[in-house]
Amino acid sequence: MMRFLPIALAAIIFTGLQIVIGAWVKRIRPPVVDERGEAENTPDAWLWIIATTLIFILLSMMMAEAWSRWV
Amino acid sequence: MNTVLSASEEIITARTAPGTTQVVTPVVMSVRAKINAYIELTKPRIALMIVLIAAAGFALGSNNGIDFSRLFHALFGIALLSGGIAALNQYLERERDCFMPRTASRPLPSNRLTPFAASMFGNSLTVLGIIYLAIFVNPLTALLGLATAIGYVLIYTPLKTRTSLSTVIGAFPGAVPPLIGWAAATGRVPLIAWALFAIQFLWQFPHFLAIAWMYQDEYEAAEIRMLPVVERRGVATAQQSIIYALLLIPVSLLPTLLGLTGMIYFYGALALGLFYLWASVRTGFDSSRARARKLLLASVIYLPLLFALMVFDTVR
Repeated sequence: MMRFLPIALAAIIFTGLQIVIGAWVKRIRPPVVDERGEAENTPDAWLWIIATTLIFILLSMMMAEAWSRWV
Repeated sequence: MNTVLSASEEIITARTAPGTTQVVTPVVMSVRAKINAYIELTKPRIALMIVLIAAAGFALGSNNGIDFSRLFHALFGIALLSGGIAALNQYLERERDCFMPRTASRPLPSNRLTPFAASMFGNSLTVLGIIYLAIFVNPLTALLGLATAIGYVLIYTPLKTRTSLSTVIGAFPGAVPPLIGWAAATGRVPLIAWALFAIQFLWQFPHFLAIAWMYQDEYEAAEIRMLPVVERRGVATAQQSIIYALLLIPVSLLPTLLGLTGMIYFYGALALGLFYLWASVRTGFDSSRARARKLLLASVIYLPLLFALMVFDTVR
């Protein structure tokens, strides 16, 4: 349980980081106007955030192992 | 000498709606032009890049000097496999390729080869490549080759019209070249080999998202669900490009942390990573195709330089 706590915490922070970057990009990026209007927060955008977080969890395990060998 | 395609080889791709077919007039071609079409079907420039990255993986995995005979066999088998996978991919996408100016001149949509011939060619090269790797290199390399072919042709390619997450799925077979090179040299895939896999895996996201942004309208016409197609404003595209470029920085430093490379590589990788991140962040600032092209350019500079630096600064 204690082993997975830091990973879960890191995953939550990483998901938050993605949302913050998304909000920042939305602010700085000029709007694209087309006949269909804008698709805000499409399901795909959220699926990408979930998939990227899962990838981050795998990578953080690899990073942790590499770090333990380094120190 | 001219070769006329037989009636049985009539090509059934045409510019109709995706998913429908229409018989069109066969193309008359010289033998030389036909050979060129088969070469084109293997996507030789991509194959060259794959072979070079695999060669870097092989060199990095070789502890006691490079076995050049084994290297030759490995690269030949990998080239066969890469060409076969590219041909099968084009066979499966022949109808959609008609709708994109970028791909409309490929051998199948331009009617220079028949789908049957392309399918036979692609299957033959793929099977030959796997068998060649199993016999002349080692079973693990052949197994990785087989997994790559299945992942790319049977999983990633059909998913392209179903979900934008196909890019994530496709990044797995796309990251195999350094891993397969390492496996060819040693018959094993230790943690450091997976670190090389992770580097190439992460690198692909800004690279392919930039391509998808540049050809957004073409992908949409071909009904390929890339992220910029399903989210037109490009917020998620920029967000994911930035996040993957950011993740790539610490992961690209792993070769030094794991004792494969020295500090020259460490600082070089850091500088290259910051350059790639900056190019990704810049795409967040505007929606232009020109900016996406700059990110694409940054990506094709980044990867060869990083691997060259890795080979140059190997310390063990």
